[in-house]
Parts: sequence; structure tokens; C-alpha cells
Amino acid sequence: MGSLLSYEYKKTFSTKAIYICSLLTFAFTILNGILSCNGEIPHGNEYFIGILSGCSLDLILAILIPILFCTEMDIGCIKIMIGRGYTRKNILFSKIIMSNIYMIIIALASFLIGIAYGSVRGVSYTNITGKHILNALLEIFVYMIIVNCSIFFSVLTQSKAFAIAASILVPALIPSILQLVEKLIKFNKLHDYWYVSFMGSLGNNILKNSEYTRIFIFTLIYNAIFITLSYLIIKRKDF
Amino acid sequence: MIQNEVKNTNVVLKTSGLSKHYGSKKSLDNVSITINQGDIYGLIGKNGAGKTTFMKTCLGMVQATSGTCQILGSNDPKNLRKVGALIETPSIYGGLSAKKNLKIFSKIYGGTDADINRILNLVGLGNVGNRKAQKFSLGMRQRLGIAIALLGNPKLLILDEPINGLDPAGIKEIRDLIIYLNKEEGVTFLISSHLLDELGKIATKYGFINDGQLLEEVTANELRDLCEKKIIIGTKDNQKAYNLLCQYVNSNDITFTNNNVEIKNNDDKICQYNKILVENGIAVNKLYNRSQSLEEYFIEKVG
Repeated sequence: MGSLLSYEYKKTFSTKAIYICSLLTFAFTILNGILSCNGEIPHGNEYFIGILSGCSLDLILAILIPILFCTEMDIGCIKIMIGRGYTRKNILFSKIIMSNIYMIIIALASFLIGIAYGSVRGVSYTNITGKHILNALLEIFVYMIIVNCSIFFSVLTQSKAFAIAASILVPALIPSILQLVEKLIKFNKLHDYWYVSFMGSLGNNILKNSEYTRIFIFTLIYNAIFITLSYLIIKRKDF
Repeated sequence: MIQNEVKNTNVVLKTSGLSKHYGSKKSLDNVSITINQGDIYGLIGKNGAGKTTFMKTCLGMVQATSGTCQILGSNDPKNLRKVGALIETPSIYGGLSAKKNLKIFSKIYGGTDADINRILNLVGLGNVGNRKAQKFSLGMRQRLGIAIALLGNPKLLILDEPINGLDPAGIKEIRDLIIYLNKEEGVTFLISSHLLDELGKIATKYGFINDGQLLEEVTANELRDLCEKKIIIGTKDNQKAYNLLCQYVNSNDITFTNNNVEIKNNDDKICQYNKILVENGIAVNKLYNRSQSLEEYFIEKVG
């Protein structure tokens, strides 16, 4: 597994797409900062928890992860790794780990850029509490769902275009489907359990402890589901 | 059919009843082959015969429906670390140079910088500098694919149509490379190719595969004996010559083909046939021995 991770690291950071997407994320972060600070300077705590949700990292990941994963499948690198004795499980998990490491690095970098820009524009962070930091950490945890969901669609479709489209559209369509289901079963809170709503909540407000717990548990569940489904597909796949 | 040759008989690859079914279609059907250390095994078959499926199944890229494949004496997947492969198209990163490609793949396949330089020189890519792989010709890409397969000093190289797209000079270079690696470094090869005459120059053993089934497995020496020798006769009146010679030759051994008379298995009677024709007033304008080529043997085998 160590050699696979070393390979993933070297391969990932040799790809132009990584750097382009990173720069785009930083650009969106600064753009978000500009728009937030346009006119009246926002409160530090509101600005703080809005940095990550405003950097469009979810869209960037939904595009980048399928590009990285499907390119490898297209050029046959995964089949050659299998041919050299590496298990499908280890290959998949090395990609999941490295993709999430990249996401964490970019999220933290964007966060720091956002904070720095805010400081330059006069945002004061003196009222930041542990819960604001928890919001930011949970947002990063939720981004893991996007990474793992994109990997799942990449493994399932084996096509860059379909995987990107699915990674963007399917999560966005599900809230509408859930709202339809809510009308049928007369339960109003169903869409609150889909991860897209988590980002909205975390990016706007400090939440109650029970809501943090709910978000944490369901993020864990969604990550587990996507990782498991990806593993089941790749385990049976012929290359 | 296979005679044990006097050489190192360590078995490098052995399949027993290897099968792969896609629904009702049998892409591989009970294929059992043995490749010994030092062999250059030529796997021959038409398009869609199952050559690539066989190679992929041996390597675990495709999961077998039934049967087993042992690499270097066991089913342990870790033994595949000593196998290099080039299957279908070369798996390379187009945005990187040849050297960078090898450096990345060396993380998982092994190999130092010195090994990388040696391999690049071996495959003739030592002087391509920083040119990106996406700008390589097809032949250069094939060579880079072979270079990647050579990382980690493999004991067995599985090459699927390695000389596809190469010019004659490139074909010769790859052929010389295969012979060098086989003779000097003891690498065993499993190679599939449509260019049968090229394969015929280097292979020590052949497997003929058709519709997923192994038809025949022969050594190079046995194949040489099996490839039929024929006498080709051309005259001013071939029909008359054919009718005449039918009186002297077994009917199964004589045919009237493409305006020639062909006689099998009687190459020691060539002078006798010439005398018969001349004495009967049939002028001979063509008379020679010809051995069946590997291509002709293959076409006869698979249709």
C-alpha cells in the first residue's frame, strides 16, 4: 500500500489539472471574499464559516476527481497495476486516500487564503469560537462525500463526461426528489438528511449540538456507502 | 505432442483449464498451456480468438470463470510482481516525458534511476529528452510501454502484439531486444502477434488458439517438421500434367491449385516427376520445393 500511495502522490502532483483546479479554487475563494466584503465589512464569525462553502470546491472536486480517475482507467494504468499483483482493493483505497488528502490540502489552503483576504479587508476574527472552527472542520468532512461520490460515479460509468455529469447533477437532483417524497409521506425534514443541505447549514449558521451530531453521523454513513459501492463494483470489474 | 527439450524446465506460467465466459459466449474455453523458463512462447490466433483475453486472465485483469493460472509455481498474486506486461495499448501518461513516466511507474514496479536510464537505452528511447509521450510516434509509444513492462527486472514478459505499428527497423529492434533479454538476462516471453513470420523468427514454442480454445501447442522444432514441404510444378499444360502425375502420386497428396500442380510429402521424387513430364512431351517451366510457412500452417489450422 505504501508504494501505491507514493505512486498516487507522485502521479497526482504531476498532473496539470491539479494545479489548474487549485488555482481556480483559490480564485473563487478570493472572489467570495470580494463579494462578501463589498460594501459593509461582514462579521468575522459569519465570514469565517462562509469561506469554504463560497470557494466552489464542491464543483471543482466533482470535475477534477472524475478527470483523474477516468484518465487512469482510459490509459490502462489500473489494469497494469492489477497485472503486477496489486489488489483492486488496495488500488481503490490508495486513490480514495490520495484524493481526500488533496481535498483536505486545498480546502485548508483556500480557508487560509480566505482568512488572509478577510484580514486585509478588515474582518475581525475576535469572536470566533470553537463551534465556528467545528463548522469549518465538518465542511471539510462533508467534502469527503463529494470526493467519494465522484470516485463512485467514475468507477461505475468509466467515462469522464458521464462521471462529471453524474457527480454534479445527481447530488443536486436528490433534494428535489426528497421534497417530492416528503409530500407523499408527510415528513418535512427528509431533505435535511441529504449532504447538500449540510453545506448550506454549516456555511450559514452555528448549529445545535444535535445538528452537528446528525451531520457527522450521516456524513460518515454517506462516505461508507460510496466507498463500499465503489469497492463492490471494482472488485467484480474486468479490465 | 510436446517433447521435453533439454533445457531448464522450471515452469514460469502454467494454466489448467482456464476459461472465461461472458454469458453464453466462451471467450476462453479450457485452455491449458505451459511456459518454461527461457521460452519465447508465441500465441497465435485470429482477431477475436481469445489471445488478449487469455493474457488478461493470466494477469488477473479479467477474472476467470474457472481454471487456474500459476505464475512462477504458485497462485500467489505477489508473484505477479515479477511479471511485466504490455496489453493492448501502452499505458503511459501522455503529458509526461519517457523518463518521467518511468519514474512514476518505478514507485510501484521498482527500479532505480540507473535502471531507468538503462531501460530507456535498451528500448531506444535514451535520447528523446523531455519530449512528451503524447508527441511520440506509435512505435515510440510501444517502446515506452515495453520499457515500463521492464521495470522491476521481471522474469516473465507478456506482450500483446508488441510490434503493431512499428516500421521494419523498429520491428527488428524489438526482435533484437527480445532475443537479447531472453538469451542474456534469461527473461521468458509470452507474445501474441499477427505478424507470424516475425514471430516465427524468435519463438521457441507456439500455441494456436481459435474461438477461445487451444488447438495445438508445439515447439519450434516440431512445427518445422509439421510445416509441409511441397513440390510446385508449372507447365504449359498444367491440367495435362496433373492428369498424368495422378497416375504416380497418391490422390490425397496431389492438387491442382492456382494454375500449378502441387505435390505434398514427396520432395525426394522431384527429379522423377520432371522426367515423367518431359518424357510425355510436357514442357516444364517451373519446378521447385517449397516449405509451408507459419502463416500457411496457421491458416490451415484455424481456417
